[in-house]
Amino acid sequence: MSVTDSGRGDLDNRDLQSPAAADLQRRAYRALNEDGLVDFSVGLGLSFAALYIGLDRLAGVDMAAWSGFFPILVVLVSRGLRKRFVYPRIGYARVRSASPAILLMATLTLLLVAGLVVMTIYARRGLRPPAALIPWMLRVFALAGAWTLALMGRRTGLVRFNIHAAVILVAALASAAVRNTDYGLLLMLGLPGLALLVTGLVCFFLFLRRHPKPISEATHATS
Amino acid sequence: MPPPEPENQDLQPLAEIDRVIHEPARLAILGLLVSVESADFLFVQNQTGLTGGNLSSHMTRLEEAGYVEVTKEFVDRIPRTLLRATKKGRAALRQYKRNMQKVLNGLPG
Repeated sequence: MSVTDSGRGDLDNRDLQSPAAADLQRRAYRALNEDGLVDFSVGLGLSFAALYIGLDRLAGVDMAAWSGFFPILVVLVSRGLRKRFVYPRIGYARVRSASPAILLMATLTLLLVAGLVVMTIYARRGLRPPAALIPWMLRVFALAGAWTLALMGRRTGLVRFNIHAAVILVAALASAAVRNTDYGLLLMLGLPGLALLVTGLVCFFLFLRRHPKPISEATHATS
Repeated sequence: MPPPEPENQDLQPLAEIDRVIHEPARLAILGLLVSVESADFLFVQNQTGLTGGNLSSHMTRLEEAGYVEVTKEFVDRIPRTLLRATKKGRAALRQYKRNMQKVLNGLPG
């Protein structure tokens, strides 16, 4: 990729604050998020976390050695779908530098993923993490997901992101009311996870119907 | 030869309107490219609703004016043409907005 003096990041703040510029930006972000893959990815992440609780804590199947692969799988599936189905249909755009809130969320998510990977490495050497650590990691993970979705809702103007964030928060509150921590966590992660997964898939299929495969793509594939 | 100065000074902002940006399609393209970091040809085409040929010709005008730049990159061995607003293009759009605001403020009604 060529590096150029395009003036990246030097857009005057006044321009970003003007309603017209903000509207154009929101439209672009919205177009990039109509595919439902953000919902799908967060839903998949939460479902994997619920699966972890269900198998490791409730069914007694040792999953610690596999947990680090879940986020990697989520990222790979999401990126693969985007490359294969989204970019050939609506094109590709790189969004402007993220807001401090989104950068903070990204850092937090990366730390959580790193924590899971470290846990996986140690579990493969026969060392299990402290039992009390997992529920807290998962709670932070779910709340980070809710916050990210709320920020996405604000950035894109898509209401469904705010609804998802609310569902995660409600599930977290409901889980606190359950006395058994493991069942509480299963509820907190599984309920919004499935909701997001289904919504993401529905949005994705609607997106595919709205944006049929361009002819040039078929030509390109055969060439 | 530079264009003659308008006799009526109230019309001065009108004469300063950048005609490269003033064309609606080019305004839409530049506005879009300023709001994202960079975008490929297909994305800009989808967002503006222009045909490929139209977008191409408008891009040439904007590129000639130094307002946008076109870079090519390869992603998984597939070529991708990225369009991006330059520093000059962003400044020109800012100036265009100021001039248009002046012009519109001076209009009756």
